Amino acid sequence: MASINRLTLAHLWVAFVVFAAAAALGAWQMLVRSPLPAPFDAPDTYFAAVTLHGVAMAYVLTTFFIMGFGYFVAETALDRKLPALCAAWVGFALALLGTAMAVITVLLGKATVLYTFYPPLLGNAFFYIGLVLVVVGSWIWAALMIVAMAGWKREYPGRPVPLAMFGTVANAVMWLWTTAGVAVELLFQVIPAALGFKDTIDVGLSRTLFSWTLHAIVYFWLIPAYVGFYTMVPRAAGGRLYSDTMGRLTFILFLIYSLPVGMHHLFMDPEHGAGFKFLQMSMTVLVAVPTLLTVFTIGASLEIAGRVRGGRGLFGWIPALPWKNPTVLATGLAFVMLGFGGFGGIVNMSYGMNAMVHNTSWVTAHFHLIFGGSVVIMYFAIAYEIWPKLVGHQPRSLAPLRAQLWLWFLGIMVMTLPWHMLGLFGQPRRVAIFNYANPQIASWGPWVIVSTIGGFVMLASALLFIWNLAGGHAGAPEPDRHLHYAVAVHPPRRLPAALNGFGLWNALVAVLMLVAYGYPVAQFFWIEAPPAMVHRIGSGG
Amino acid sequence: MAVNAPPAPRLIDRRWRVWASVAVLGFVTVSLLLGFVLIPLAQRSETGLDTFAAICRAIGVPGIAAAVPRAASVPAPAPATSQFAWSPATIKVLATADPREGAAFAADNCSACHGEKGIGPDPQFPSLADKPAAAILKQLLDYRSHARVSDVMTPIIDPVPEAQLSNLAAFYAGLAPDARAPARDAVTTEIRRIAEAGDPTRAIAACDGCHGPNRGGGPVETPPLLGQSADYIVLQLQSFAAGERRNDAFGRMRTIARALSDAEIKALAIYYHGAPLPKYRQ
Repeated sequence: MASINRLTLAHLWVAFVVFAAAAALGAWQMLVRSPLPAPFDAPDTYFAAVTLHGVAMAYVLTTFFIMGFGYFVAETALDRKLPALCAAWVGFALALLGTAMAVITVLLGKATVLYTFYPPLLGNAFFYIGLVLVVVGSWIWAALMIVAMAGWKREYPGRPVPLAMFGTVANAVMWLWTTAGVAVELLFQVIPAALGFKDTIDVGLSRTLFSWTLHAIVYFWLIPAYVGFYTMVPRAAGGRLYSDTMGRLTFILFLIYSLPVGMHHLFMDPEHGAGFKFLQMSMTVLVAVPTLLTVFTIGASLEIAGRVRGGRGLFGWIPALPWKNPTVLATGLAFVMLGFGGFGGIVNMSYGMNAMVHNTSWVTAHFHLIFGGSVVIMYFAIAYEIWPKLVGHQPRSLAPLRAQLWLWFLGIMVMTLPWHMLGLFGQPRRVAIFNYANPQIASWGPWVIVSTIGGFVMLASALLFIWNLAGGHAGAPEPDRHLHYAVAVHPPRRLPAALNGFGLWNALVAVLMLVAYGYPVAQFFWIEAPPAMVHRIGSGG
Repeated sequence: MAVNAPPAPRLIDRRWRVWASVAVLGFVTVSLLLGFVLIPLAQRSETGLDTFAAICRAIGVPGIAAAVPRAASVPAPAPATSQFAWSPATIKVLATADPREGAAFAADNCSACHGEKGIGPDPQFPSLADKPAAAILKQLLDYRSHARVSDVMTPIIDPVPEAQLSNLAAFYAGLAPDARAPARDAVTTEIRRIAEAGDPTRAIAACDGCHGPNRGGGPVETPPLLGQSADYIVLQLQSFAAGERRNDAFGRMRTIARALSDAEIKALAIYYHGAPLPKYRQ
C-alpha cells in the first residue's frame, strides 16, 4: 500500500505543481490581452506562454493526474497489488523527462507552436520528442491498467469488475485508440520535418490525424471526473449510487462515441466532404448521452442521500445534502458549469452554428469552462478525497478546501461568461495584442477586464489548492487508510460480458473509426494536393 | 429448466452483442444516408449537380463535377500577376546557391546600378546588400515571368536560368552594409505608429509586421526595409498605389499603398532609409 501511495503522490505532485505554474501564466495572458498594462507585454512572449500553458494544462496536468489516480484506483478498487510497479515508475520517469524536454524547448523560444502544433509551423524536434515520451509513459500506464483488470478477472471469474476500475480501464482503452492519431502525425509527419529530413508537410493529413486525437483526448481528461461522480460522490453525500449499470453504460458510450467525432474540429476545413462532417456531427450528438445519463444518475443518488438525511418534498432533499463536504460541494458546482459548458458545446458541434463562433474567443471560453471548470474542479475534489489516504493525515479544517472550490467556481464563471460574449462580438482567438484605440475593439475592453479579474481569482484558487495539499501532510492522523468507494443501491452480482469488459466495444470502435476516418485519411494518399512548405520557428524564415 | 429461470449467461452475452451492434450500426447507417444521400440530393436545386455528382461531392471526391456557375455578387478580382510559389525545387536551388558564382555575374551585369557592395550609387535603384536571398530571388523570378516589369531589368534577367539567379541572390544576401537605425526623430509619432503598429481603422497593417527588423511571422520573401533608398521606397509605394506594380501576393501592398497619403509615403521612406548608427554603437 505504501508503495502505491508513493507512486500516486509523485504523479499528483508533478501534475499540480505544473498546474499552479501554468495558472500563473494563464492569468498573465489574460492581462496581456486586456486593455490593462501588463509586464513583459510582447507577442513572442505571449505565444510562448500560451504554448506552455496549453502543454502544461492539456498534457502534463491531465496525463500525470490520470496516471496517478489510475494506479491508486487499480490497487484500492481491486484490492490487489498493482502488477509491475517498476514499469509504472519507468512510465513516470519517461513522462517527466518528456515534460522537461518540451518545457525547456518552449522556454528557449524554439517551439512556439501552441499545444496543438499547427503544421506547417514547426518547432524544434526536442519539443515533439518530449511530448512523444509523455505519451509513451502514458501507454505504459494504459497497459498496466488493462493487465491489472485482466489479472483480477482471472482471479475472480464471473465477478463484476468494480465500477471505479471499469471506468479507469475504459479510459485506458480509449487513450490507446486516441493517441494513435497524434502519434502517427508526430512520428511520420512532424518529427521528420522538424529534424530537417523534409521541407514540406501535408497539412490536410496532419490536421485530420490530429482531429482523430483532439476530441477523444478531452474525454480522456473528463473520465476521471466521472469516476469521481459515480464512485465517490454518492458515498460522500451519505447515500448510495442509484445505478451501477448506468455508470458502466456511460463509460462505454464515452469509449465508442468520443473517437469517431473529431472532425467537428474541421467543419471549416476544405479537405473533407460535407458528408463526413455531417456523419461525425451526428455521432458527436451521442456524446451528450453519457453526460445526461450521469447528471440523471448522480442527481438521483444525491436525492437518495438527501432523503436519507431527512429532506422532504420535491426539492427539500437539496438543502438537506452535506454541502460542507468538499466532494459534494465540488459536484454541485461542477454540474452548474457542466450545464453552461454543455450548452456552449452543442453550439460548437453543430455544423451550421459552428461557423458563427469558429476561431473566436467563444471556443477558448468553452473549453476553459468545461475542462478548467467542471473537470478540474473534480480533480480537486478527488485529490481532497484521496489525500488523507495517501499521506495519512486529515486536513486541519475543511473551510479552506471549500473556499478554494468556491473561488475556482467563481473565477471560472467570471472569466468564461464574458469571454463567450466576446466571441459572439467577433473577438478572434490566438491573438496576443488588441488595439483598444480602435473604437470597435474598445467596446470589448470592459468585458475583457472582467474576464481578466476572473482569471486572477482562479490563480488565487490554484495557489490555495497547493497550500491545502501541502498542509494536508501535517494534520491529525487518518485512522482509516483504506478508501471506500460508493456502493450501488443494487450492487451487481453478475453482469453480461458486455458490461464487464471491452471486447465487443473495441470491435465497434474499430468499425466506427473505419467508417468515420477510413476514406478521409486514405484520400490523402491518392489525391494530388500541393504540400505546404514548413515554417520553422526561431530560425528566421 | 424452470420456466422463469434467468437465461443462460451465454445467451445474455449474445443478445448484448447483437443489439448493441444493431443500435450502433443502425445509427451510423441513418447518418450515412442523411449525410451522403438525402441532404446532398435535397440540396441539388442549389448546387445543380446530378445524383452521382452530388454524392461524390458529399464524400469529397474531387473533380467529378463543378457547381453550376452563378453570377458573382461582386466583380471577380483581377488575377494575381505573380505566379511565384515556394516549391520544394525552388527552395532546394536557393539552399545550394553559390555566392561566388553570383559575384562574378553581378560584377558583369548588376554593379553599375546596384553598386559593387550592393548599395546603389543612384537612389532610384534599390540597395540589395544584406536583403534576404528569398526576397531577392522572388523579385528576380517575377521579372523573368514578367509579373514585374522594368525596361532595364527585364532584358537582363530574361535569359538567366533560375540557378544563376539564386547564386546572385545568395551573393547580395551575404554583403554586409554599415549598421543603421530607423530615423525616428525625423518623423512624427503618427508615422512611427504606422510603421510599428499600423492603422487598423484604414486597414493598414504594421509595416514592421513583415518588413521590420525581426520580420515577425511574415512571408520569407518580404525584405526588411531598414537602409533601403528613400527614393526607391517612394517610387515603389507610388507604383503599387497606381496599380502599375502588381506582383504582390493578394494585392497586399497595393491595398496598403492606396490607403497611405503622399506625405505618409515620403515620411515612411525617410523613416526606413534611416540614419547610420554612430560608430561607438555598432
